[in-house]
Amino acid sequence: MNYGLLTPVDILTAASLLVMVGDIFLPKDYKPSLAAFAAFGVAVTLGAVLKQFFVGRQGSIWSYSVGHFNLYFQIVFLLGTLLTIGSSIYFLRRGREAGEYFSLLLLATLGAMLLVSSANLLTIYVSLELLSISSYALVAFRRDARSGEGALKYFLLGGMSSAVFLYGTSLLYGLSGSLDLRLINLHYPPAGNAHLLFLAAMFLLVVAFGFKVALVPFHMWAPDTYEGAPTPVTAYLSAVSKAAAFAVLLRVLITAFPAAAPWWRETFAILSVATMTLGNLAALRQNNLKRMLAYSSIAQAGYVLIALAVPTAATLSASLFYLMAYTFMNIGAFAVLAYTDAVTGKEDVESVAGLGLSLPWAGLCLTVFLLSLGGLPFTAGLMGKFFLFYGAVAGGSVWLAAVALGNSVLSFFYYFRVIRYLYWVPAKETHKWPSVWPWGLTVGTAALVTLFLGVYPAPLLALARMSLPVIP
Amino acid sequence: MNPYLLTSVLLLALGTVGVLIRRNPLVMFMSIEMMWNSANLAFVSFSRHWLSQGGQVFVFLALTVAAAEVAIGLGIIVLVFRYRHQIDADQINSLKG
Amino acid sequence: MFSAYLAILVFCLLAAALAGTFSLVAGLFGPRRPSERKSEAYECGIRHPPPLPKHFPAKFYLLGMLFLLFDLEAVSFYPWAVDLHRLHGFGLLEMLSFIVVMAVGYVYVWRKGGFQWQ
Repeated sequence: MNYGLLTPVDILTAASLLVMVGDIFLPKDYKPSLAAFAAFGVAVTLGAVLKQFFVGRQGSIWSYSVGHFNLYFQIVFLLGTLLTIGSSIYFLRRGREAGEYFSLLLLATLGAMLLVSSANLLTIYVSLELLSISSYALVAFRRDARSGEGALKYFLLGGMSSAVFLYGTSLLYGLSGSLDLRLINLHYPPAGNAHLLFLAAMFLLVVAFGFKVALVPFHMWAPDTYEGAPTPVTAYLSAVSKAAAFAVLLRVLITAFPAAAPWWRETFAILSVATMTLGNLAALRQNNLKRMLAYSSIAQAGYVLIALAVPTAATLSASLFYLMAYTFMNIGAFAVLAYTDAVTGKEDVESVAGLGLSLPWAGLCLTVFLLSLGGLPFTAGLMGKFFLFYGAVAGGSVWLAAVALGNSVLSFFYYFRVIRYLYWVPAKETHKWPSVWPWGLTVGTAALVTLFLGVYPAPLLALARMSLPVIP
Repeated sequence: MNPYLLTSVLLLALGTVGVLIRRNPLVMFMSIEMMWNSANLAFVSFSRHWLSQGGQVFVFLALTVAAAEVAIGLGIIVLVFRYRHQIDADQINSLKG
Repeated sequence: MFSAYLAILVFCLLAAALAGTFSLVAGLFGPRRPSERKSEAYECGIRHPPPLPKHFPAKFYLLGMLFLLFDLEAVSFYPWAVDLHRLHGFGLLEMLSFIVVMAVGYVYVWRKGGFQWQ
């Protein structure tokens, strides 16, 4: 047994427990330093994961598997968590609740890491719940009416989705006598009517993960939850949590149900179109920036779903590339909002009016993120979209690529509206913008990475190609 | 069809209907619990069918996870109640759906 | 043929001995302050059970929840105990880490005042 494979998750577990212990034993004045400790813990974990990715041993230990696919997503989650920690600092400026907040954040990330590495439906369930339960608490963290409402909706729909997951899992267990994804694959296709039950169970799992990814028929919770949650938590949910659910969806479908691909491909083509179209149309109508970005993140998930509608090596590696790029641009955009929300106390589009002039660097970074989300040249977003759409065309699904392209054009309208406010609409009131260096570092890094990936995407794309989910 | 499985399907259906038509978050949550337990029942009966322990272990873990979820859920419901003094899902609409 | 039940007999004797020791030690060394209330028939220490309130105070949920959580986590010991002979040292290590995580949670709740009744 190679227990060394568990090193990264061990480190992260220890870090989250230490943050909790620090929260109860540190004197009040020292609590804000827990943010630095949490960031340090995540960075060390990231180092361990990177080592496994590039030089370390890979393999599996019981139902925990360590391969390039799992590690790639773990890197995405850890980078997203680092960015979230950086953007949380100003939100938690009183700092007294830092221990609770960061231990929950680290536990959620631990759940995401375990989720993407699980090869067994039992561990998938437990890690999914670790991620979900920590997220419910994080959404309610502002402890006001809106935060509570968002959390309640997330919680009720999340509870329902986990019931759906449980029932699907129990059916799969009943049909195959096993909870191991690889063994379930061996039982497919079963004879006779059991085939339909198998498909039903598979679709129950798809629905459950679809809730987490916020695919369109199952997205009802997302806008309210994203609006009610503290902005850094919104960033985390819309990037890390979403990527985790997408990764496990990919893994379950490709490991356990490769033979049922004709069934789920069609489904995801429809879900993809519905998700991107409805997300973009709803985003057009929003005046609240957070809500607009919430719908935009629903639409972005629609683009990534192309990889499941046309599962070829090209689209799958493109989706991996896009999720990494999306983590930077989306959390970056929310990080800017987290700061402007906290300073102006407003969330509507007027809150960033004139920001490009009063706070040039932040305005510039937000512009970069929005252009990247829309998919303009020299940004990571364009590269990701290009690879995805091109992969769809190469995979024989021209219509899907065309719909996605049309949607991208549609999305320019609302992204450019914000940019117009940034530079061409003067601010109604003046604010004093305090300087917060961890926040500045976060936003600056995210913007630089977004630009870098847009100009020179080859290395990351090569890594994504290395990390394709293996079809057994 | 096995009577246990039949019961489990009935419980699932009742739970789903409960979540969809009841508006009190506590009752909705009870219905969700019922859905979880319908899956647990199915797990135990499948476990018996295959004479394997996997399903029973799953039920144990599902129960503990459900307890954690209840803890968070009730906390959230109390939080919402404290601000609104009413627990009716239709009244909780300051965020437009 | 009864040898299989020998272990149960030993277990019963051990349990009886342990319980007996405890009562004996408590009787010998414990302080003795008999009162009218104490010498009554034992009914959980309450003389006349008060009528149950129709609603529990919302605060009670916290204590109830904590009880439920720590109570239910113990169920994780069962599958572990069943498979212990196959898990060897690693099983012990796993359970030890489980208990450490639980203990951190317990201390956390304690220090945060989660067990305060008022």
